[in-house]
Amino acid sequence: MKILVVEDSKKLQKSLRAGLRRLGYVVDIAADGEQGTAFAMHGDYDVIVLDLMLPRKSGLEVLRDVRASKCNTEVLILSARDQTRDRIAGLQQGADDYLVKPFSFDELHARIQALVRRRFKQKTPIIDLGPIRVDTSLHLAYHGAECFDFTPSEMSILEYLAFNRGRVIAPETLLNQINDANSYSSRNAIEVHISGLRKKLRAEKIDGLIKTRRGFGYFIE
Amino acid sequence: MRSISKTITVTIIISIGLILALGQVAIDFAVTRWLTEQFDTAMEARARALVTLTKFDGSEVELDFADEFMPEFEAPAEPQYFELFLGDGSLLERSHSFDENPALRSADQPDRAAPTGHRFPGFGFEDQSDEVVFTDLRLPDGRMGRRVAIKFIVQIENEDELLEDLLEDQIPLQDRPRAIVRFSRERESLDRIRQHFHLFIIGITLIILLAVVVSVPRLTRAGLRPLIRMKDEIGAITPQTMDHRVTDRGQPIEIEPIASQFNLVLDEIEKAFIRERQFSSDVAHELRTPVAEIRSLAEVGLRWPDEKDIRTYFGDIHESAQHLDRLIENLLYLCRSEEGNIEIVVGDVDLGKLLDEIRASLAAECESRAIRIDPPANAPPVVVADPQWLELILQNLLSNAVSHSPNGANLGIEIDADGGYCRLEIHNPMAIPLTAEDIDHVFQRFWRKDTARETGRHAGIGLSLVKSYADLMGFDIDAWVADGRFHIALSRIEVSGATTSPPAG
Repeated sequence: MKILVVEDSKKLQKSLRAGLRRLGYVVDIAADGEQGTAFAMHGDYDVIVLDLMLPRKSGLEVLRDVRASKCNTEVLILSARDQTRDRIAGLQQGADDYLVKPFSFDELHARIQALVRRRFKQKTPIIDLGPIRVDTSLHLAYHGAECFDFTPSEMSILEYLAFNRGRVIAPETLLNQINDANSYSSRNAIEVHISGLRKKLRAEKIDGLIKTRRGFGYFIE
Repeated sequence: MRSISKTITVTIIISIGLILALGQVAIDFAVTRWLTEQFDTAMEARARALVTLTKFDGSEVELDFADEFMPEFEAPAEPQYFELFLGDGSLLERSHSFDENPALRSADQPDRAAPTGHRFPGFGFEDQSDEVVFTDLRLPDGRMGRRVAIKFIVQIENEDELLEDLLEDQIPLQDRPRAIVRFSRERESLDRIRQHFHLFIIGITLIILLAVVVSVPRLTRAGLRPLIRMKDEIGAITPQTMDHRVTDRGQPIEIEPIASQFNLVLDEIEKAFIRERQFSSDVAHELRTPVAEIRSLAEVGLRWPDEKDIRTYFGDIHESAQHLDRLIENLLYLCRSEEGNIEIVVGDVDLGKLLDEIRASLAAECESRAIRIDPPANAPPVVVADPQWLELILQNLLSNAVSHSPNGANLGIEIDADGGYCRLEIHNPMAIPLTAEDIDHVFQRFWRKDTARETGRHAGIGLSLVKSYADLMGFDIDAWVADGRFHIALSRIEVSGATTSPPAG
């Protein structure tokens, strides 16, 4: 999953980037409102964590512009403003959740997970794919009681395919899920990760879970 | 608790009750007296009728009385009584009504043992003029009665008019026979009327009093309705509805000034309330940011201690904690200064030395950002001020100037001393340009040009703190923008008589 954090505090940027990456998310950081707007409109993010008091452009302005551009990414406002009117303004402008600083990192993570599930219309964190189960909260996949040893990128791709079960996902979309704004991987990297996934699944005698539609992409039935 | 409504109601009811009681007594007295007078007048008329019937023909006194013309003296039921005595006290005539109770007659007779002549002992008649005396008594038939006694000189009357004229001429007035007539009648009818009138008056009084008791509270409430309405309006004002006001237009003249004055007080309370709420909100906001940084860094660091730049977390946490510490300290200073709870100990302060120390404290930041603080051209004097608070003011001003200058900027300090006072001005180019409108806000707590917080040293209370302390020490402080530079000047700093320090360099 890919997350954009729009936050001007360098210390919060640092801790959020590190923490969310360690949880398996791809994280981009924007330090001001204008950068945040540009990132949000051009990156395919699953969740945007948005501060309200930002240099150059306020968080509410960012939110307004993002929603005006028909971007339907889930937005979680993370602000020191705790007044009810601030929450109402944020939610009415199109935010999906509001968390007041100081916050518990675990609570932030739980809310991000909830927003991701909402984005993919998934009520529970466990996605049952038949032979395997994907726990999107722990970013783990199980075959019976056995846990697969997937890499973070393989897990991200599997989760994304699981969330979009029945839909063909283009390699470029999957690439976006494993690359942040500062990294670049070629399309071949996706084939490598898919191959790695299939190999680890086959080792458990699970074959044909991830299917390929030539010229279009990958999908799970 | 005292109630105006109850006080007014009780006072009015008691007052009206007293007025009614006094009025009742007065009316009762007047009417009773009038009734008695009317009664007595009627009695006297009857008695005088008997007087006119009493005649002296030259030889004897006789009463020309016929029962058939005055049947009331013979009526078996409720009779009236009369008696006619001569001047010597002898009874000349009495009504037949006495016959019903002969045993009682003697009790009502004049004192026969009294001296004769022109005196009428027992009746108080001392002279020859007519005298009328009314007395209350119990009638022979047992009823309560009233009697009128009239002393009179018996008129001369003779069938022979010549003789009558002769007698008139020959018998002087003082020698004519005297007589007294006593007419009695029951007075129970009078007492009944008086009693009925008493009851009537009491009834009327009670009815009026009842009407007063019923109507006064209502009228009082109606009269106090604007006050009650105002009370309700005031009661509806809560911290959530501080913008509400009491209706002052169209109020009675007694209420309008109170309502207007109350609204003025509400204006001030609302301003203070908004200011305090804003202050609390700002404080909470400013405290939240460094706390959020500390908490987030600590939680992530504790969870993933193998994070590659984990060591930098400690520095970041320490920096945020220092920021928090400074913020709390400044807030405390601000609160104390605004409460006037600051002790000012004035002494000589070497301004040049103080400026050098502050510049030295900012040297590292200035060096890292290639910022230069030019020393003042004029030698800074020794001034009279509290050294602690003057240092805090100058530290804030210079620190503020450095923080809000672009990298590579030159900061200027200018000092002028004249007329025993010194003026100190600091100016710097602006990293974020301020407008003239912004200048109105620079001394406000938590005001910043950019809406973003800076996680560095400035929370937006430095200049408000400076102003607060400058006010306490009696300095004037002014800020303005000119030529792309932000200027701030302290003036009215008293120059000491001590030696000035050499210019700093």
